[in-house]
Amino acid sequence: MKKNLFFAVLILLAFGCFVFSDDQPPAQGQGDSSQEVVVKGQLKVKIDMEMPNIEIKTDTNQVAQSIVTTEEQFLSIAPEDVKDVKASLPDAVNADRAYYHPDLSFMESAPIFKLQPKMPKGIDIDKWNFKVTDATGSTVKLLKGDGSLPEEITWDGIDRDGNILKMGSPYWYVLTYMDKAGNPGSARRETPKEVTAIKYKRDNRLYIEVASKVLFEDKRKERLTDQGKQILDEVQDYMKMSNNFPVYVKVYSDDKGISADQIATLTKLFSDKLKCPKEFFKMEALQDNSVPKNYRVVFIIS
Amino acid sequence: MIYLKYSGSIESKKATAQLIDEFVDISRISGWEYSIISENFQTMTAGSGLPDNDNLGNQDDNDDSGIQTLSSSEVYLEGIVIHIRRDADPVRLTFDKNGRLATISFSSTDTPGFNKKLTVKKYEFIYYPFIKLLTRDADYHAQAVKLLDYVKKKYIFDLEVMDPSYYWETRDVEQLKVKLWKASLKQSII
Repeated sequence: MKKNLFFAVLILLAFGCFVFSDDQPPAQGQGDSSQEVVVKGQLKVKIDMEMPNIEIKTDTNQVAQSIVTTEEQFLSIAPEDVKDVKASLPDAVNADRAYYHPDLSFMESAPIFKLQPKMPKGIDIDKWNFKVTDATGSTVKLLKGDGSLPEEITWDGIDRDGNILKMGSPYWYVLTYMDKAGNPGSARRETPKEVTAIKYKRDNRLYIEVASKVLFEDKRKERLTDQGKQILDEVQDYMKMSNNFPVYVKVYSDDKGISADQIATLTKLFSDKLKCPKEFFKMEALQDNSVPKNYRVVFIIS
Repeated sequence: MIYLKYSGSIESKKATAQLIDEFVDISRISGWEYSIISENFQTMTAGSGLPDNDNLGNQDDNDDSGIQTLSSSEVYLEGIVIHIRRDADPVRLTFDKNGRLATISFSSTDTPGFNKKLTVKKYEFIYYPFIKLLTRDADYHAQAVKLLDYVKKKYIFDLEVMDPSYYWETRDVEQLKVKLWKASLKQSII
């Protein structure tokens, strides 16, 4: 019995020593019989994966169509002013103000002359005559009428042959009338009107005509003036708005050689500024023999 | 005889050109015939645009001062002649080289040379510093006065008009008609 008790006490003591040695780390400097073990290496785990068998097909036309359909559905329920935005998108070049350089405004447009005649009371007009004359005194446009004068008399710059007025050339008008009592009367423009740059539409194309004397220097006729550069900036705005090429350019001068030099200047300018190949501009050098002279550059933009 | 005699000066060549231009238009819209005058010795002796000299000198007024003969180099006349009526004297608005209302008439005489094969043609030019317009009825007289009114207002500011019927001053059509009637009576008696 005593022997059993003795063994039990020994076991208990041994167990107690083991427990206390784990809970309390050995004090520094004290001798310790335990060793630090460092394990080096990589954990290698092999993961096997399989690609799911899903096929993805993309049809860009289908995607675009759905967007267009969505946009149309949106517009169908949109207010009227939003619908107008789409309706107003140009399908061809228009002659409205260019967006890019709104400060530039060298281009004139019709009407060139606009009169609102006001007659004194008591005068009944019998017949009247409105005449536009050029620098040679020739009549380029004649309007006639019987009875009272219209509220507004205009000239769009097109002469009796259907040609646009000459660039940089003076024009006058005179309105002559006879009243029913037989008294003549007239109103005349004393200072001439001179147009140096004009835009007009013909055959659904935009025509821009600019007098050479404002585009190019007087002595070195192939060199652009400061004003000429600005005018060409405005011309380029219309090209950008159109984005339809080729643009046709006709250069009229007193000599074809001068016209060719001016074409070289214009080609370089447009190629550099618009980053377009030269083939985008169909240029033609022409000699002008008309009287009075009409040295000019004509841009035809589709 | 009833007539209008008028004189005065236009300011410049430019004004003359404008006057011609306007009276061309006025004539066109009124249906009047007109002719533009641009005369010198060559054109005048060639026979174009010769002014009638019937009613210029031998009239019954004594105020024909300034009439003179001209040398060929001084012959110059520019303006417009308006035929308001075919059967009546036209309204002349013609100016000399100084811009003065004027008419020039001329006569030519042929003088045989020594051997009768040579003929010497001699021209004589007579210059009148006024224009005389015979008017045969009241309507025509009144219409001519309206044109002169317009000319005085716009181009010939010193225009002086001598009107034996006093219509220029009074604008009395009835008085004008009486004067014309009396003038026609006097002519028929003569």
